[in-house]
Amino acid sequence: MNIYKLSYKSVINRRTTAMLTVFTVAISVLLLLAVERVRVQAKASFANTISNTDLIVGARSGQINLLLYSVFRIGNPTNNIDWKSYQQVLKDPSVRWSIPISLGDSHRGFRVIGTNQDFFRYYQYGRKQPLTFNSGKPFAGLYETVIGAQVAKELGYQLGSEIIIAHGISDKKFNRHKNSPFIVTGILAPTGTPVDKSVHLSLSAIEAIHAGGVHSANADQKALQKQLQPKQITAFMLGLKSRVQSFSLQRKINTYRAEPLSAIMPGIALHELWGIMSIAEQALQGVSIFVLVAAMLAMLGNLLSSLQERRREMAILRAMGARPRHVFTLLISEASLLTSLGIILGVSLLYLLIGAMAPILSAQYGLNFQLSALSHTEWLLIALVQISGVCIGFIPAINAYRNSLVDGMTIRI
Amino acid sequence: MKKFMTLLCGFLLCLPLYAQETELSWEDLIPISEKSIIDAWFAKQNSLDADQFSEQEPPPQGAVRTDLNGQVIKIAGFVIPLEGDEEQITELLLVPYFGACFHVPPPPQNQIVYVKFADGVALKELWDVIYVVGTLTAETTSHEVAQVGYSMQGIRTEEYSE
Repeated sequence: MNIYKLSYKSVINRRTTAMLTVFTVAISVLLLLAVERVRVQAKASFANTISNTDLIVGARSGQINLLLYSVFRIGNPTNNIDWKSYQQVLKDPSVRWSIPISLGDSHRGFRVIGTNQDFFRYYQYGRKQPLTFNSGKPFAGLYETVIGAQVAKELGYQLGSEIIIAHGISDKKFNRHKNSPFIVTGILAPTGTPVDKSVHLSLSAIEAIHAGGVHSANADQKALQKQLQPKQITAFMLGLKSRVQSFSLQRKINTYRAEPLSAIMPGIALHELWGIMSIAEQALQGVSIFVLVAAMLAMLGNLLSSLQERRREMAILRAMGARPRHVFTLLISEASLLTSLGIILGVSLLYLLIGAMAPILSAQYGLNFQLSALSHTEWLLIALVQISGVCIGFIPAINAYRNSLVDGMTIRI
Repeated sequence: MKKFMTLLCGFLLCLPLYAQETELSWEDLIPISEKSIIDAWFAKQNSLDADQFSEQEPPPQGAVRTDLNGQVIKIAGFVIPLEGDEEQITELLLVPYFGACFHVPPPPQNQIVYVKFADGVALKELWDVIYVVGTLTAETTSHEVAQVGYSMQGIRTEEYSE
């Protein structure tokens, strides 16, 4: 009988402990790979959210905070900025385009963004990809809205659907603005960024819902326009004529005397964010390495204790003509087999988990996980687990190699 | 191993090409005419008495040396990432000093190089000093504004050593 087949049969004979070992290895593999995936994909979804934007300007705060609330819609703005300051910055000759953003409202759990049509023209994500419409067109009128792909999918909206916008971020029945129904005029194509989860309105519409609805029938046009003229916005993005000018405009904005403003360069802020994230990452990686060590020790324990039960087995094998190296191979192949099974199970669990959790993670945290093939690093991690499994097998193997003959043949009562 | 050898051979073959690059300092990027104006201004400033205010702002800076246009140069500077992810950066600004942030005036236009890498480069640390080798373009005018500045098509980066 082939020695590997023998090892397989022997494992099957002790299936309960073997299965436990496989599970321990599987869980450690799962943890190791999941941490790696979260690390890589979280960063990728952050990095892909904004592109080709030179400066982001908001009320004075830290650059990471400004980046998080203006682009990723994480956390809340420190303050709004005056419409006049925005107009003042736009007068600078180096500005090519700008996107105003007004935050703070929501629609059934999705953030509402007040902006203008330049958002659809200039906002870019990924590798300088512009926004595209799945259907419809940008909003033009006051009570028109453009929704992200995920909003449309989850709430089942179509072009022409009427929606009601609430004031504030928590959207409960009591604070919905009943008088302001908005008509969906456009649905954006999926981007994998927070844009998918946003409801876009014009800045005037934001003023209108805060004014408690506008009754255009009895208000004369001029007064209406004055009323709906935006007084403040939350932040704005700037594209410059030349990227070299970023510094001088940033300096001008940061030293603007009329209002304390902060201008940040998204690239620097992102790198700073990664610097902070890497601490948490390393901690997680450390933990998963220790879980792997624990799994390997558990396997070693199992193998060693099974040797006690299998003294006879070994002795009989030796008596039947098995050489010490056969016994040695038997145990090494058992350890490798258990590790391999553990890895296969762990990887399957990982994919199951991603499949189950991806929609939730995407909806709650804006992190996008794809069921992509194993990456280079992930294969390396798997190889690391397999190699350590084989190495662990050496300890009981050497043990059995030494004792196999002596042990079972001497009768001890 | 074979792959590595091929890479090494390829690298060695490319070496003569790199020999054409000229290493420049940041001062070399300032045109000589501008340099003499600045020197004169500083000399005047220093000759003033302590209780006198300087009469004028420093002369406008930022002209570029058009004679550098198209040359392959090597320059060391701080990296400010613009586009790309954590591993690969495709666009960056190279500046002569750290901290072009809040308390210091920004570098003049001719002291910033806008570098593009077609395939991206890896960057270890934010605010790393590295050597960038690439083909320099000195733009004197742009159709949108009277804009001057250096841009560069990056070829490779090298680690900076003191």
